[in-house]
Amino acid sequence: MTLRKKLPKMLIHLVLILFGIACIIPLISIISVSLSDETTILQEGYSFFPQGFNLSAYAYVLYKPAQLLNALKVSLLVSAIGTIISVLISAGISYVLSREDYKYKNSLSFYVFFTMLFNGGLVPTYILISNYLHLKNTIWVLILPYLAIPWFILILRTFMQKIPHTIIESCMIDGASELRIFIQMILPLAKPGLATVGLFTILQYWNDWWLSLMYIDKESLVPLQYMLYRMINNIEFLTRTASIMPGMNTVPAETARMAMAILAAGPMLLVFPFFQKYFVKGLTVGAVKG
Amino acid sequence: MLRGTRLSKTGIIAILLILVFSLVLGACGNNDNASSPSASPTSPASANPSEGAKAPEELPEVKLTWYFPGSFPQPEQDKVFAEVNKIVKQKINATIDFKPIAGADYEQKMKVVTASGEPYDLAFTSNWLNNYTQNVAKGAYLPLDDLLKLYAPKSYAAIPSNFWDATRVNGQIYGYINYQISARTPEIAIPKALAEKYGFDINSVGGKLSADTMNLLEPYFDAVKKDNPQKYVSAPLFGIQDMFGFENIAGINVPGAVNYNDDTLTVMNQFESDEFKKFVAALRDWNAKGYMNSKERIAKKTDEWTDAKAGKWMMSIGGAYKPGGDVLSSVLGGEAYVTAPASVPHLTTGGIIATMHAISRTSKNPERATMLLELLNTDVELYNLLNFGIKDDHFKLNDDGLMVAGPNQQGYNPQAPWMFASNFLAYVQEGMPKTVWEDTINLNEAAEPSKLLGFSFDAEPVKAEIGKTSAVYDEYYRGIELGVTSEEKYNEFLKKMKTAGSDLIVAEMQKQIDAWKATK
Repeated sequence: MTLRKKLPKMLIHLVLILFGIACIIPLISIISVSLSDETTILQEGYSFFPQGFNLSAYAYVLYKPAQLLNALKVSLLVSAIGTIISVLISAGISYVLSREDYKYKNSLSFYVFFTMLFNGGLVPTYILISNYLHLKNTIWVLILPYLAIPWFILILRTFMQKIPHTIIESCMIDGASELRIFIQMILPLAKPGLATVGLFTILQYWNDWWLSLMYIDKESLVPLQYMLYRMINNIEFLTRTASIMPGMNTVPAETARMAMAILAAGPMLLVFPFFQKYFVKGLTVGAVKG
Repeated sequence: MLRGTRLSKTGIIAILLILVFSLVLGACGNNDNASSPSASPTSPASANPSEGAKAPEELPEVKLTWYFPGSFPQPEQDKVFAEVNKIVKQKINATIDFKPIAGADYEQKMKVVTASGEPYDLAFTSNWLNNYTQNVAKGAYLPLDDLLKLYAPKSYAAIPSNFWDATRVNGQIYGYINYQISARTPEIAIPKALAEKYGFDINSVGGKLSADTMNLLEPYFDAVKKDNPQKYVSAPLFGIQDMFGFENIAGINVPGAVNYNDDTLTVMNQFESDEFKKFVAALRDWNAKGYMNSKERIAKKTDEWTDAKAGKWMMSIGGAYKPGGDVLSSVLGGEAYVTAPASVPHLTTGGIIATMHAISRTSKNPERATMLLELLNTDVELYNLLNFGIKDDHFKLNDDGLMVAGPNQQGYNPQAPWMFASNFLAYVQEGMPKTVWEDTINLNEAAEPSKLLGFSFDAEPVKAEIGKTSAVYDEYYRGIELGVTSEEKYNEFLKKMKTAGSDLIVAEMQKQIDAWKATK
């Protein structure tokens, strides 16, 4: 009797445990490969435990750590500033779009969502940013282009639409101004939504290497992701063009790749648990009516 | 009614947006026009012909922007670039604004830089990265004939004139050649230890390989295989076709090639040729005899150099032979190799334009940029500084005058002597023969020049067909080069190529070659 009751629960737990293990194993093997010896990896393939433990991959990636630390600083700065401004702007736009009584609601939503489907393309964007806005080689070029992302606005708007209009009306009757309603009522009520969108935005900023590839030549402004991306690409480029260049050094390609993955993902792995409690709520509410 | 007005508002905004977009696009179009050759006919060289003879202090100071690819950034590049600028400043009163781009990003970056009309002076260009002919067709580069004669006479004269012919588009030079190995022939490379153990003299087959003589290698394979079943021969289709005396017109994966012995310049589909079929049959035979380890390799996605490092090669055929190349293979392959050319070296347009510099149409100082090219291609110290870093720090010269790694090599080691300027200025590395550059020049000069030298194919009219045939090639080539493709399957490959438009491509090539022939 009790077993029959428990069995489905145990099954579910088992499945979830297996799933959890399936998620953790790749992470562990990445760590172990990054700590392994390159030639052993080449001869025997990947494994679960470090083979021929050595730190040469990290030594390669962390050679001259000043460069890496600076990149980390740029990434953190861009992610922090970018996320704060971006969430504020997205919240503002989403809020007005969620208000049925907003006169320009339709035209504004069209303006926002049109850009989700169509954009000027790479070259016009590049011309605009470098020749007209003169943003090349400034920290702002890494922040401004992602300030208002239509998809995040859409999620947030759907979330805010769920906040009953009567709350806003009662605030008005109490004599609150629009700004006060927004800041003191809506923003606290929309916290799960904001946290979700905030996490997406952080990831967007944190993982971006494209903007820096296009617009950053100055070494002091290169963010972490781009720096690591470039290192990996350089390793590949060296191998690919090997037939025309002499004097090549051996670089720990496989293990270095894994070491970079750890370095790139590390900080986000730490941030993620803090958002998690809002995450489920914010995302489902956003997705159900998306 | 309310709904009606709303809609029309949306309509107005849509129209406004379309207008804005068309403005942006229009601006982009104008930019292209401004930089096309017809719109700016003034030759910059006519500005001040006597400037070339001036002493550096009489030249006004300028800043030159130089884009180039490679393994960048290097940790101590700023230190090296500062040293370079000291010399350049002193010699031609210019400083260089270095724009080193990570190799893999270079293509993308240069595309937007070129399209946006951003001002810069020099850029690396070639047939495999930052495509030369396409950029010339877009009007991105300045014609160099007059500039070279005035401001770079020494290095212009140092390069044979038929090399310059290879860079000509509509009779004009648009790319400055980084003089180096240009003769192309596939390389045979064997681990030295194996060659010695099994008494195989690589020179006994060097220069003799063709579709008919692949069996020359079999006794060696047999001997090695007996003791080392895990070792295999790597013979990728990529870069091997030159061995049969074909010049591929639009790349090895696109149908269309001309035979070196053919004076009539008749384009054929190389995949249908007897030579190719014989070679494929040889590969099939090798697979049957177990030389290829095909089963193990077919599913793998990593590149084969990884296997080389793990000591799995008994021979590699492919790549490009060059004197002193043993050193390279040794480092890449993780053990010492001996190398030899597989067949007769050929001189093709592709081999020559594989590494060049171009001066941008948007350059404000094209004459000074040319002077910089002259300086880079004549000043041994400057060239080596740029390539290998600071002497006794990043590199050292040993007692024989050969270059060895310095105590701080990791600080600056872009490993791109093929990219900066004439490779023949480089210090010889320890392990290379001392005469390596003389040998290379001799090889270049002895190479059989292609009858197509100076012709470059405009792929635009058959772009779609090339895309389709490349897809067919991608589907089949791995099986072919591993020898697992049966004869029926190979015929199926040819049939699919035909359906994808191989005949159309060949016809278009023939048309363009005939037109080119008529102008000569």
